[in-house]
Amino acid sequence: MLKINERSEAPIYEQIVQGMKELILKGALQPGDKLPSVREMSATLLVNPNTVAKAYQELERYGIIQTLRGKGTFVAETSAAPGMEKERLERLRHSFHQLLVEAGFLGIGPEQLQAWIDEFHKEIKE
Amino acid sequence: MLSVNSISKRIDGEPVLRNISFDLGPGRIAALIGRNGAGKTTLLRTLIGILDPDQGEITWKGLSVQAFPQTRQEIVYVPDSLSMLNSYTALECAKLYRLSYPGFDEVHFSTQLRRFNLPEGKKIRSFSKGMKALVGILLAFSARANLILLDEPTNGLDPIIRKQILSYMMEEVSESGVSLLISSHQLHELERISDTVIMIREGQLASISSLDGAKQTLHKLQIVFNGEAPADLLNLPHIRVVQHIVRVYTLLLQDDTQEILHLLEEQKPLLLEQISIELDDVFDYHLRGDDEYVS
Repeated sequence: MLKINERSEAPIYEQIVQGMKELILKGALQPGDKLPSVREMSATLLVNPNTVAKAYQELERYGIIQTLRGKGTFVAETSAAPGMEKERLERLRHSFHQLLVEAGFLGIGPEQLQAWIDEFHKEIKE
Repeated sequence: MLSVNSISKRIDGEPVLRNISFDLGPGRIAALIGRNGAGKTTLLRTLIGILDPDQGEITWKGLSVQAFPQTRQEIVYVPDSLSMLNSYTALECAKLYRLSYPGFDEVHFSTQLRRFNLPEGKKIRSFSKGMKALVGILLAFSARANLILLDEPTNGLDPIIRKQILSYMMEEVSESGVSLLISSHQLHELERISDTVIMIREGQLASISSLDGAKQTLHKLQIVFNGEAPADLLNLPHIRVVQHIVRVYTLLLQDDTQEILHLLEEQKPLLLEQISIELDDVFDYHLRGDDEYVS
């Protein structure tokens, strides 16, 4: 499921966060699903346990996963943290704006952008 | 908590370790990286007290490892070869370890032997290289020490046993909070599992950081000069030429990258592009000798 790419410039904990988000988006992980513990995840991915813990903390801060004391860590229901959802939306809007500025500099117009949006949309839904 | 304070060591009159200092806290996984002959094994053997430093001091929780042998009950060393255990069976090894490590967990050791299908009663001599390495690791973690020093633990092992060993080590670190200091050349492996990197070069500390950190301060460029390559520029201290094929140079830059980029751009190169950094580049930048051959 999750794959760490050593050649990527993204730090490993970010790759875990991103990977989990994608799995949830694709429906491979659904609200209420129990996630492997930090120990299991670290032994499976062969990654430092502190790195996995950091990724889990980040996902929890965004309200994407939830830890229930003594029960484990679960994929959160979408409404688990409405406050966080607002912050995430704001963040997404901001990143999108930055991307468009960069695209402008590279001379990428709305048509090319729309084509990419359609392409990635299809990829994620599959 | 291990604290290494300016240790130096000469062997046969030759300086092998020079003024090395670093600390290692609980639950940390540190990678010890260096060229062959840089002094990694000597450092590990000095930390465990097999060798005494000529100068400086090593302390464990504030007590000198040399002056207080009982500190060594909390530190285990796994050498790169277990040939000294050849004439014992796995269970006999466990008894030997128990003499040095009173907290040795025999139940855990037997459970893990069964889990990895290792025979209890056969002599280590008859084991494959991978089985030997695995037994060495199981013995070390079963000693229930707080710090384990591993000298090239996965060197020369097949990918399956390598994953088994790494996976077992990660389980144990998450569970018991033991610290590891691992010497290895498997950079991709180390990048995943370590949180600290200690690089030594010719017996001296070259740098300490996280691998992510080390990767982020370096930049790699490909450049084709218009005409003669400017030798004075390529000899700047923060530039390293890693490859040179006809007119195409591959450079590694550290620190004041913007300024150097500016200088390079002034040369009006035919091509100048950034390419992504790999761990080998970090190794190359920090640990290659200045006079070594560049292809």
